[in-house]
Amino acid sequence: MKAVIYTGENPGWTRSLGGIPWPLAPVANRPLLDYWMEWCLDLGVAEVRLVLGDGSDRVEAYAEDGRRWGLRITYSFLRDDRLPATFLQRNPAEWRDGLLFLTGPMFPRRRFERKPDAPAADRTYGCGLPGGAACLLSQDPVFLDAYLAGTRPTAEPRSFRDLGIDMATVDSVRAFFDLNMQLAQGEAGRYVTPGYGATDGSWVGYNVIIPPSARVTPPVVIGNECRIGVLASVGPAAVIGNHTVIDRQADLKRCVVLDGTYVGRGVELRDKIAAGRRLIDPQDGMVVDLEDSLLLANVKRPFRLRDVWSGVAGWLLALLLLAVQIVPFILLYGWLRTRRLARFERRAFHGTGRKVRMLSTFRPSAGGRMCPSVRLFRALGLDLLPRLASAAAGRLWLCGHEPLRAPEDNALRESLPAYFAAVFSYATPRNGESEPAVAAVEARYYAFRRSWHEDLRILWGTFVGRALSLLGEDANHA
Amino acid sequence: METTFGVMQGVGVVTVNGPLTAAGVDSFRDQFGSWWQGAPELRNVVVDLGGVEFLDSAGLGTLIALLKRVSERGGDLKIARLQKKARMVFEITRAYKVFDILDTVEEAVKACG
Repeated sequence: MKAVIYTGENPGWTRSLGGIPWPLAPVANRPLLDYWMEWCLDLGVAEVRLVLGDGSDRVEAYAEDGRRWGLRITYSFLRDDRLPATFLQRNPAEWRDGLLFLTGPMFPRRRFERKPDAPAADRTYGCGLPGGAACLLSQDPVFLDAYLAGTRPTAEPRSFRDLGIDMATVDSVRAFFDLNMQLAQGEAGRYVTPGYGATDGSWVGYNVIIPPSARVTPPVVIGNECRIGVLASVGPAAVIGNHTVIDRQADLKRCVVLDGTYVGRGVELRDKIAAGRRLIDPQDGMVVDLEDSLLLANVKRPFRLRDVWSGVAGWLLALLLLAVQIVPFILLYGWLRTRRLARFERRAFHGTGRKVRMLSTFRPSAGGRMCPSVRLFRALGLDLLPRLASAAAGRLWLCGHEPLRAPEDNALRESLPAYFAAVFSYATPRNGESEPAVAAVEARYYAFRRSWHEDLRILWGTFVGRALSLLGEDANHA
Repeated sequence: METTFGVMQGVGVVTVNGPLTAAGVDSFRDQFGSWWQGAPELRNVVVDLGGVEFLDSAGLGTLIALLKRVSERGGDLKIARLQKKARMVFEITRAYKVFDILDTVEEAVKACG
């Protein structure tokens, strides 16, 4: 059996969500297409033909060759002015062995948990209205011949309910919202979601920072690499997309937050969809584009004029620090080198822009790690002097991201909306060492929250933290 | 943004037309300040937002500043004819908990009494 899914249809409600193609519309944080691919697997479909229309190249970029689902996906193109069924009529013999045909945004909603003894799809099933999204599943050659020839088949298709599927048409923002709410409120457990757990109705992705003071009330679905602010309240019935930042004291209930959205401090979302800086009321489809980044914004961050001022100020400060530190550096590093207590290693890091740069990293020897002179060297920030020189030469920012290693951190570098490789970062008080998950979340957080305030926080944390470390305190507590 | 000031049944009525955003709030605040100082007999104010399609956090901040000034005189500030898009901003910022919002100017004036 083969599946043919027409993805060229571009219904109006997807424009409200920012023009995302319907197969990529997120349902409980997974693209709608994902559910279809999984159902194809259940039905024993091995080959899927995605029929693209104008503007659906993003679907191809996402689905690729289907290997991730264990399917073989091929592509065809159909002009928008042609009916999807005309594609099948180009080569009817290809579909006679069985066909799953979908023409628009529908969701195969499971009525029960997945069972190994699910009924076999050995009849003909269908739903949908002429002119609207429709779905057909058949392994009956007689029926398919008649259907593909455009004549009236002798038998009426059965309902998909016989297969334990409620075929839900997603024809409005409200239907999209309701579907997300249904899955968030427990139905998500009916679908396989690798890497997710839901022992208490909380579907939380990886690299999610939830501080102790934040309140997450199940059922919720939270995507990957999210940051929830202190005193924020999420749930019940909230779907939070990937790469989102929920700022402090925000209150989210019965809402859908799409990928890459920043929800501002104290913002209350009830029965709403937030898509970047766009706020949508699913009841009537009303859309408000907020110009105000304090309320809602895209996590993807444009270049700003204040970055220029920040660069100039950082450069001047780097020169000043370099001038102050150069003499202590020569004296103390000379001492460390003669005693073989530490040295600098050159390693490849992602610089600002697309360049990979060799940067010096301070490496104490095994014996020198706890040596007072090494601790003093670090407490004075002298281990950062080579990077300060890079900042003075305009190759690094003064404050920003901890430089990402090349090639180990390539994926993180690509996923960041903005990247400012810098001398000082959130990780500097920890001597640049971070767990990968923490490093990813901090990098994403800084990319959005970059400001003078954050830079001052970093500088303060670095110098106070390191000074306290000299006194034997834990730098992370500074 | 255009602003007109009037009085209805002893209650000040401020009618705003156009987006109430950071671009226009300074002049709005100044105009309100001049009018408010020149009308010491007024205690309550109704802000008619029927002509405001959109407002941002600066606009909301200005409304809260107005509420503070009116409260200092022992009065109250009510919002009338809030449009759908502006209402959505009121909802997400919880401003609806701060202001009394009424459907018409007449109802708001009556509520002030």
